[in-house]
Amino acid sequence: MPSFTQSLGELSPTLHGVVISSSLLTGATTALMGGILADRYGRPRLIATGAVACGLGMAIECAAPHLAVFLAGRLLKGAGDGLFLSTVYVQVSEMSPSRYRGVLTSFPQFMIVVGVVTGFFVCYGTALLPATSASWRLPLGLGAVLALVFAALLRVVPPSPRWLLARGRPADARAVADRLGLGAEERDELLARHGADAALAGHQTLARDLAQMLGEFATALSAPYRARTLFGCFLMAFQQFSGIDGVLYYAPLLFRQAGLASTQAAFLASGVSSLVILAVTVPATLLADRWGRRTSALVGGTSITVLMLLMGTLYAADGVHADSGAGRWVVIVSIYVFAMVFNGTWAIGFRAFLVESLPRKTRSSASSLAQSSNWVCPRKWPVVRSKCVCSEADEGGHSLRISWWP
Amino acid sequence: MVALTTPVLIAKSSFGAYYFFAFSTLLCTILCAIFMFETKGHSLEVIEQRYAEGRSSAVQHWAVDGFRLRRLRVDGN
Repeated sequence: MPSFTQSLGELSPTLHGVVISSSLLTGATTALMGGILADRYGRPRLIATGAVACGLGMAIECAAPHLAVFLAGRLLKGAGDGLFLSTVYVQVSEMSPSRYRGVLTSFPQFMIVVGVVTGFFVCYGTALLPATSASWRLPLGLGAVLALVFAALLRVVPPSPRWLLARGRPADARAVADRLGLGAEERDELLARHGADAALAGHQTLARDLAQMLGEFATALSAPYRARTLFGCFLMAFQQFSGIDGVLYYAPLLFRQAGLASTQAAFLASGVSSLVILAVTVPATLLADRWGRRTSALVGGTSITVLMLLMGTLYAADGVHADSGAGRWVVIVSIYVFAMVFNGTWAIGFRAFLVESLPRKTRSSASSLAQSSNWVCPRKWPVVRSKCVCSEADEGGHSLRISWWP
Repeated sequence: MVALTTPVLIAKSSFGAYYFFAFSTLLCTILCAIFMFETKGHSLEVIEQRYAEGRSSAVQHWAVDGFRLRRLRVDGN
């Protein structure tokens, strides 16, 4: 972090919050359009476009000589993120055989966690570099390269058979379904139930596209689809209201309040919790099709409620002291258990259910809406975040917060 | 809005935020228990059809399923 302020100047806490949450602004906007554009132009193509935008944004951040340029890069990165994030889940869900669909839909979440862990340790390493700007430029450069490699790899991903059918290409859909190993029964089911969507089959002008886009939101929000769309938005919003990001960002402070020495606290909070989350995500992903989404939602929700009540009550009863007593350890353990439960259940089950519950007609547009509702909610907790980020500004592993948190 | 009010909440009382998260989670869990049904293992087309069939009462449809299962078992005894 010292090298960051050296190259781009000192950031006030407010400016810090603005820089960090700037990518959300563009992200929430493009997320809204992403799904519908993907319906129109093809999902892999749109995901690749988003990834390229993301990569370019990070490259600009990496090379930024000035804060304004850095901010511009971040806005572009956010726009790219928003464009493809919800589409990734729709694409994966639509091209998976139903037997493995839970595992495969959980896989993107697993890879996000891998990214966070890798990001942490890369930044932990580069922060130790002697005072050059490389300590914050290097992770961003690496991110840019990864995004472009990802975009290139998408060339080998076939379009989803469901999408091909909607475009009136049943022969292609059949071939792709076979190539994906969908199984004869599921393939025939698929081919029998779907008709071409007239609106998607032809080529249109951009103005017509935009008009149609608004129409598709209207469809997603009218009967008989309304209930599912709104429930999906509700789920994605309340995923945030469980407090996961707030607690994670607040963790260094919480741990310190609970009496751990500060460097130790920061490392425990960021490094160990990311490893713990990774360790939980592996079995949760593999077991996703054994356990089911409903079970995971109910078990996870009940456990989180109990943990939160436990911590709240401990604080309310003044049972947590920085220097003595068992209360602080209960809080620390509870935070870890909470992170494990959340990532093992809600983080995985909600997303899978969201995409699955939506009918083909509104799958893309309603997922986009839900994605935006997830982002509009206090995902980044900008104020909380800028507070604790500043307080640990000199403790290393820091540019992580700017470059890697999705 | 919430992003701005929550830190204030945390600053005012250390337990308020935890209770807020607890009750949001509880609310969400209850609604999941009512509205969410299992999609594991079904093809996307089957899920869509079930929604269409049980449209007005997707919930009851599934609740009835479980009820029947229980009754069958009683009959078996």
